[in-house]
Parts: sequence; structure tokens; C-alpha cells
Amino acid sequence: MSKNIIIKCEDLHHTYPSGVSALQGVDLAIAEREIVGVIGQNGSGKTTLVKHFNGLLKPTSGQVFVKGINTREAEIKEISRHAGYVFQNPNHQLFAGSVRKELEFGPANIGMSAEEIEERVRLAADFFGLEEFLDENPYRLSFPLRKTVGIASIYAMDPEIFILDEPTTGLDYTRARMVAALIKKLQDEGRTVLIVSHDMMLIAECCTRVIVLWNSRLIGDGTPREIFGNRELLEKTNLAPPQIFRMAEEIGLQHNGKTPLSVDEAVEAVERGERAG
Amino acid sequence: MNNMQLIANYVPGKSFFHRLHPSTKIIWVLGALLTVFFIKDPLIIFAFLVVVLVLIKASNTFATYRASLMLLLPIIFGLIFFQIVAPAFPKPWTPLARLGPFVLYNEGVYSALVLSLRIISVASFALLFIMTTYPGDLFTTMRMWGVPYEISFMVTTTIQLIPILQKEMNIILSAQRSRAMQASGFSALLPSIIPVFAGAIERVRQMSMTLESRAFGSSGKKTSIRQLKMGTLDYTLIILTIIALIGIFYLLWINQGFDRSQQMIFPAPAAIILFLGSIIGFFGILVLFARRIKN
Amino acid sequence: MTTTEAKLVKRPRIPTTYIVALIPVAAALNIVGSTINAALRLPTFLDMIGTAVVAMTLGPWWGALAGLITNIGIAIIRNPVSLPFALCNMVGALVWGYGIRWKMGKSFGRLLILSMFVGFFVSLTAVPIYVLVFGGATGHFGDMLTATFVAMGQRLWVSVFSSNILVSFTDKIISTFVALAILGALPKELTSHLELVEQKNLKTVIWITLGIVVGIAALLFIMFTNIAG
Repeated sequence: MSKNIIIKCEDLHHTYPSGVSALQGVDLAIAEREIVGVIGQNGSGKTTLVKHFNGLLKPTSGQVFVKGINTREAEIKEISRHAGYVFQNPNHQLFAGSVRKELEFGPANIGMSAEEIEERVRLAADFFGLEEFLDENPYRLSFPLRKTVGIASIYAMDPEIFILDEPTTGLDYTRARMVAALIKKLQDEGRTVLIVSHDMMLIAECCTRVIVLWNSRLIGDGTPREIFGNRELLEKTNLAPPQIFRMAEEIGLQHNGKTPLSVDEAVEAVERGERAG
Repeated sequence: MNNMQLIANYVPGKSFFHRLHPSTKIIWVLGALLTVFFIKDPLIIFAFLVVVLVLIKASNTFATYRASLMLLLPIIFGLIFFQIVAPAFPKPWTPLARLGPFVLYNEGVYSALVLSLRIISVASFALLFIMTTYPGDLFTTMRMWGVPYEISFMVTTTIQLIPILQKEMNIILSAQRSRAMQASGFSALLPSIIPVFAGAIERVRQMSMTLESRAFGSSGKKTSIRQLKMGTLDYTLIILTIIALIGIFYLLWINQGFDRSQQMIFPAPAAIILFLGSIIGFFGILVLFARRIKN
Repeated sequence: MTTTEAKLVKRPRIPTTYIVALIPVAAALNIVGSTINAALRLPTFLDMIGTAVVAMTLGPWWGALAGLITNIGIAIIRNPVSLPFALCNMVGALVWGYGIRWKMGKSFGRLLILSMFVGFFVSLTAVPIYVLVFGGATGHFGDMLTATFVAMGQRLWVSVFSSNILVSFTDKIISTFVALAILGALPKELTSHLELVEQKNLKTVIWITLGIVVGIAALLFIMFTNIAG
């Protein structure tokens, strides 16, 4: 399978003006349509890393290429057409008098025509189920809805790459599952998604690949199963695999010869009575 | 960005000035303010400034002081420019030189010196007070002087909120730039400012409930963890200050503020250099500030 | 509607703790507003928007308190020299507060006039401070305008007032409409008693402001040239 690399980091270093070194030599290549989970403890450098992917941060040394654009040489405005960054707290970006205006903001900034904007807003409202709220003030909506509007406002810009920072924080279980379903939908549309999260269940359920950051370095890269099965790595980084994975591992439950990652897989495994042999 | 400016100017230390009671220092600052505003001799004000600078050096606060004083420079340069061409003295003025549409006056150079030294010295003395007074002690003193607790509470909260909201603002600017917002100009104004305000005001409800649950506004005498006592030294100094002030004002009154604007004659080249220097300084400092904001 | 109901709509009872919490937030926002202004490199100040929001929602005197607290805060963390300008901030709050109470927010035109009144009274308070204490300087680009007026032969205080009123109109008109947009994002219980015009597109407001300010500037130039000649 030939893979088109969409994001590439070469020996990426980042030191903040305060002197704190947040990234020390990260090499990474992400292919189109990959769903990549970025995990690590607070302060491990994961947010710093993904902020390089839409030009919010520029490398102190090394290079970052997004769709072949060297982020050093491009403005955020240019890169954000390709890589959409959804911030953790929707309150940090909602400002317009209505959801519709909120959704129009990004597309208008990247110079879409009026018809294109209307079409993108319609698609975004449809994709995220926001049609009935289009004329509401976003500040009068509930927090989960605001969070949805936040993601939708990026979706309206039609970027190939989505960077989601803690997409499930502050959401209840049902809403968090909806986010997982949305990510799968983004994947079906052929988009590349990066998820920075502490929600291991979400990572296990959605991601095709997981990278682990620890002390400003990339120390793990593999499928969710490989990463969550690597006890040594997890202990070092103080991360815990999803509970269902741990339980399945403990009791030796297997799904198609592998440890189940999601509740659905575990249920199937139990029904089939598949065990590690 | 400019977080450095926003941290309170207090510099911990144990110098003589640090150890004085805030009340004593406030009386000194007010006394200095009144005195300096009535003195019209630049040399006396300059001498006072030198004394303040020595005190600042002695209390180890010079670095903070310098950074804070930088903010005053544009206004000082502007002041020198305007005063040279339009002195704050009754006419007639003695012309020294002419540059394009501007006539430079002797009284102008004189009043430029007086006004700028006045502002710098009062600001320096007030900064010395701020730099050597623990903010909490300042609020305790405010309450001692009968300022309602609510007021000092609000001032403290404001100061604590500024760096928090500043950080929020930086996140918001990043979030909006990720949506391809313009980096400058009015089109970026509402997307930047509304989230900051709306977010901060949402915070108010929580703060209000916290205050409610801690019985804010209940009657009864409030106690304080930090104890502040007026020492013998403080009382002695306050009494001496008041006596000195009476003496100073008597002197100022009989000498009419030591106005020497008619005796001091400045050479024309000095006026021209000062005038051109103020223009260069004004633009230079504004460009410098603009650069600093950009980075 | 019965009288009690009418009263309820008019002035919501806002708990003291809410006020005590809102005022410092507004004061801090005044300061953050000026930082945003600098970050976006705008020719305005935007350092009284918190005051405007409080004056409009809680009333003129609470707004004035927010203005006072702002300048005490700036004096402590930045520079004590800014303390006299507390007066301007308070005057602005009173005009905004009473203006909204006297139904000056009901239509776009009225709100525009109100914001010009704010600008006028703030200038009226600021100019004596600038002239007497700071020798006519403000330390901003507006000083160039003052210098131009002085060069045209105007007296210092006339020049300072003329340049300051232009800067002040620009700043206060934009601040007022930004505050209006902010009110739209605030909880209903704070804003339901206000009679306010619908939010206006800021671009329109900026063009109108530009028109007004350029018009006044032209008028001043003509006046000053004639007086000088």
C-alpha cells in the first residue's frame, strides 16, 4: 500500500521563550487517512507537538511539513486551510451572535465564495446535527453543544487534517461516544485525524495508530494494541490502558486472536468464547 | 508576551524601606507629591530625584524600577516637545531658535525640565513605595485607614485576575488564528474580545457562589494572618515628616516655588538638541514597544 | 403588567456577592482590553470596555467603581502615574450608565450619540490632566496630531483637546458597540432589563466612526487655518 505522507517532522525541537524545552528531536511521519492518538502525561509535549501542525508554533530547530508546506515559511492562515485545530474549550473561540455566523467565520477567512460558504455551513450543520440551532446564540447553548459547534466551525473550513485537543473533556458518556462516532465519520470522508487526549477509551476505539510522548521525546509509536500491550512503556509514562483492555488481558479474553480494545469487541469475544490459548 | 509588566511590582526584601509601615510610606509619597508639584526649580527637583534613586538602589529594586519607568518614556518625550514650543508659563516667552513652524522658547526648555523631572521623580518615589510594600500589607493598611474591606478585596482580585485573563487571551488568539483570523486589524476585534469577556463573566457566577459560601460581607471584625504594627520609628518619622512639610511649604511660599525661569538662560543649540532628541526618542520608543508586542 | 412585575423587569436584584465578583473581573478586563488592542495593533485604546459593560448592566455608579478599581490596579502593578486617570474612567462610566438608563441605547442613532457624549466627557476630564501634569503629552500617536495643531499656531490646550476628542470619539464609539456585542454573549439575567438596539455589524460602525472623525478633523483644520490666517 503506497502511503501519502501528509505531516512530516524532522528532528523537531521546540524551546519556549521561558527556556523550557518542550520537544527534543521528534521525527514523525503521518500518512493520509490515519487516525493518530497522541498520548502522554501533562507536560510531556503533546500539545506543543500538535501545535506545530497548523503553524501555531514554529520549530526552534528542525522542520515540519504539512501537505508539503514548510510551516516555517507559511502563515497560520495558509496552513489552517489544510490543518484544522479544534481547541479543548469551545468558549475560547465562540464569539458570533449565532451558530450560523460562527460556522461562516473560518470559511470566510480562508477566502471561500459566498456560495461555497453557504454549502459548507449546510454540510457542517448536517454532519454535526446542528440545523435546529443555526440561529441560536452559541453562548445560550449547553456546553456539549458548544463543543460540537467548536468542532463544526473547523469542519466548515473543510481541512484534510483535523487536530482535536481533548475532544471528550467535559462531556458525559453518551456525548463522548458521539464524538467517537464523529471521528469515525471524518475517517470515512478520507480525512486525517490527530487526537490529543487522556481518554484512553476514545483512543483505543478510534485510532489506527498511537504515539507516546514522554519528557519532550517520542518514545512509543504503534497500533493501539501494541502500545496498550506494552507494560514497560505504560509504566514508564504513567499511563493506563482502557479498563476493558486491562480486564481482557487479565482474563485472557481474545477477539480474532488479539486482546479486545473496545467494549463491543469484548462482548463479541465473550459471546464467541474466544480465549488466549 | 508582556507578562513581565503585569506581575505586581513588589520586590521582596529587607531593606530600610521594606521595613517601614505602609502608612509612613504613603504619607511620604503624598508629601513628596505635594512638594514636588509646587517647586519650580529644576535643580531642586533633580536633587530630590537623585535621593530617590539612591534609595531605590539601596533597596535593591533598581531592575524592576527601570522596566517600569520605560513605560513613561513616550509621554516624557512628548512633554519635552510640547513644552519647548508651548511652555506652561505666562507670556511673553523668550525665543531661542526657530525650526520650521516651531519656535523654541527659553521658558519652554525650563518648563520641559521642570515638568519631566517632576513626573519622573514622583513616579520614582511612588514606585519605590509600591516595590517595597507587600500588596497584602497595603490592603491591610487601606482597611486601617477606613477603606471598606470590599474595596481592597476587589483591588486584590483584579490584580490576581489580570495574569489569568491574559493567559486566556493568548489561548483565544491562538484558537482564532487557527480559524484563519487576521493577525491584526478591526476584523479580528470581536473574535478576540468576546470570548475573553464572556468567559471571564461566566467565572463571576462561580466566584459569587464561592464568596457566598464563605460568608462574604458578614458583619463583625475581620482578622488578618499578617500582623502589621506601627513602630516607634514609624510614629517618629510621621511626626518629623509633618514638621518638615510645614517648613518646606513655608519656604516654598515665601520664595514663590523657587521660580528661576527668568534667571536660567539656555543656549539655543541645547534647546534644538533637546527638541530634536524628544522627536527621535518619541518615535524610537514607540517602534521599540511595537516590536516587543509583536514578539 | 402589574406594577410589581414592571419593577422586576426594570431592575433585577443582583446579589451583592455577584457585584463584588463582577467588578474586579470588569476591571481586569479593562486592562486585558488594552492588551488586545495592542496585540491587534489597533489605533484605539479599548481600555474601558469592562467599565462600559458594568455601567450598562449594573448601573452608572457600579461602573464608576469598576473604573476606579481599574486605575488603582494599574497603579499597583504598572505605574502609579496613571492614578489621576481614574477620574476619566469614572466619568465614562457615569455617562454610559445614565445614558443607557435614559434610553439612549434604544436605537442605533441614539447609541451613537451616547458614545460621542462619553468621548466628549472623557476628553473633558482627561485634557486638563494631560495639559497640567503631562505638559500636553499623552505618549501615543495622537501626540503627532497635537503637534500639527500647535504648528498651525493653536494654543497648547486647544491643540490637546482637539486631538484628544478625535482619538476619544474613535475609541468610545467602537468601545460602545463592542460592549453591545459582548452584552449579547452574557447571561440573560444581566441584560434582560436593558432596552438595547440589536447588535450592529462592527464594520458598519467602523466606517461611520471614520466618517465622523474625518469630518470633525477636516472641520478643525479649516477652522484653525482660518484663525491662523
